[in-house]
Amino acid sequence: MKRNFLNINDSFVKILGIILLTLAFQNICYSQDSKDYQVKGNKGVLNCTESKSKNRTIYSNANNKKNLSEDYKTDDPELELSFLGFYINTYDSFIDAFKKTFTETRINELSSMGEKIKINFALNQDGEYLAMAFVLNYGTNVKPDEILTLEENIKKMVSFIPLQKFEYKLLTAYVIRTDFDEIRRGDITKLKKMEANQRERAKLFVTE
Amino acid sequence: MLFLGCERDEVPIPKPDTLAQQTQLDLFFKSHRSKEDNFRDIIVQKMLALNDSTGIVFDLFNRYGQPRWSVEKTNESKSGKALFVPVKALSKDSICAVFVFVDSANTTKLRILDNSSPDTLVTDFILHYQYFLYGKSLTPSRLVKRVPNTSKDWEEWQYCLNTCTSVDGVNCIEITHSSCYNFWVWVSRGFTEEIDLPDISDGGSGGGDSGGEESPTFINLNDDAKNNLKNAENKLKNGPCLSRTIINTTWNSNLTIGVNSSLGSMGEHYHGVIEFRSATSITDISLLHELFHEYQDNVNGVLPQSQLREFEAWLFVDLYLWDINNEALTWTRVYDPNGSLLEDYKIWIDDIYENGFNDSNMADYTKWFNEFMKVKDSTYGKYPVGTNSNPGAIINVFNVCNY
Repeated sequence: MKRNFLNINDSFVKILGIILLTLAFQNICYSQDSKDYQVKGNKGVLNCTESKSKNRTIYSNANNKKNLSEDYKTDDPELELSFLGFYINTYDSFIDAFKKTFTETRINELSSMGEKIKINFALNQDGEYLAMAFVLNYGTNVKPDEILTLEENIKKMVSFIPLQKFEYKLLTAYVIRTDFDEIRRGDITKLKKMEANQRERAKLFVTE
Repeated sequence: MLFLGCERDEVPIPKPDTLAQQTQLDLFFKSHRSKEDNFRDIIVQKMLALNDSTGIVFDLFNRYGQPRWSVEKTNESKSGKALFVPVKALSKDSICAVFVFVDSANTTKLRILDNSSPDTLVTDFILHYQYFLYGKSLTPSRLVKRVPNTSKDWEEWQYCLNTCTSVDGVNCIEITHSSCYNFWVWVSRGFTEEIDLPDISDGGSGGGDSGGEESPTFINLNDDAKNNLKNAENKLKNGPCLSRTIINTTWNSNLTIGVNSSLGSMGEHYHGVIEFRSATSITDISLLHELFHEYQDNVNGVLPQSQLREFEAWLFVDLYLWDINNEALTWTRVYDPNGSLLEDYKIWIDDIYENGFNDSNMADYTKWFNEFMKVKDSTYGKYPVGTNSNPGAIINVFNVCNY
């Protein structure tokens, strides 16, 4: 019995050791998994946060203002729940901004690589740009200068129209998620639906 | 077997043409018990409303017989609701049809599956109720074969299971294996007729046993506020299961809704009372948030305001936005869009939306509650933390909606 007990104990210690080593290894992997760095392009500098395990790379202009939320502090906890959001000037303008940035060949190339792109817009209550961030695949083939040019073109061509005249200062958001196949086809289904929904909401609610 | 006993005790029903219309109406709804199933109650109201203008109930009663309303409860899924009601022939213990009430894409329809259908899948479905209600004697053995290009549509569904490695049974270290399987789902197109039921969101024509439900009392609402409230109500009633469940449960429960320009925030809730600061404060989103607090009272009992209670309400609104494909979630809008926190929160929301609450995503509940309080500390910081760290009200809605 004693011998048996010792055996169980030895095995337990070994298993525990393996588990602890595995955990330590995982922690090392995860701590190295997320990486922040800057990339320089001809048109500016981008901040980059990438994570292999989450399959994403987030690019944003290094000139973006930091700590935006500090400028938009409010005593009303429920302000954003009453904000109806935006619609964009025209659905086509968003696709046009891509087509002005990327040649047809390049869009086809990125489409065949399965490149996805999500753009997080930080906006104020009047729809003015405060910041933009681009979420792409990990190890994306989209080049930093292409991101900077796309940002420039979106700012020029796409505007956000608030559904209501909102009298309070508010930091808010708009998100567009697509891929280069949709850009190639000129048909971003989700964006179309969201825009249709927002235009319908604009008709429903009395906002002045 | 209980149903069998009850049915056989009934007094024999005379031929339909000898029955007065009120008797037909009474027999048609005889087995309906209100408050057992919210969707069923709504269906009964809609049928009564439609009957006022078309006499549909008399027609269905004479053609098919007496519905057995309480046999099934409503099935809810992401695509909508469905209620199956077997219909008993008047003169014998025999199921002759199944009424299928479906509610999706903002419309309610009645589809009738008739046992005279040439489609063997339809008749087998009816036999299922025959067998269940009246025993085996009438059930033949039958081989069901798929007949292409007739009344059946097929969809291929895929289900996947992930195997997760964990040392503590809570945190997932790594998904080590996924196994997926496909199966075919038969989508019935075999109904003999389809009837649109009316929208009764304005109150309908009444009738039926409403169970003493009370519409909200409105205080100090100008025309703009009334308009916004009506549109917000309709948006939630016609929205996904998450919003429908909240509004259907809370709307007719003696609520008082008013405008109070002296409020410190856009909206506030006390048990049974919702106030907005102005007409422009009233949106589908703000109404959903306040109604969810009322729903929390129903589920947990009336508890004082607390940080955890607020977090659950904001989380619920984010799940609703996610459901309607709006990624501009609420309290994280103030996050640095360049940072990874915003994206991590969306991964968490997506996980809850897809899988419900489980050990893995519940492990991060406290983490996101703490992040929420960093954002909302100046306002909710004065509330006690609260004792209920379990999102019981959301779990309740998920159970109703089969999420």
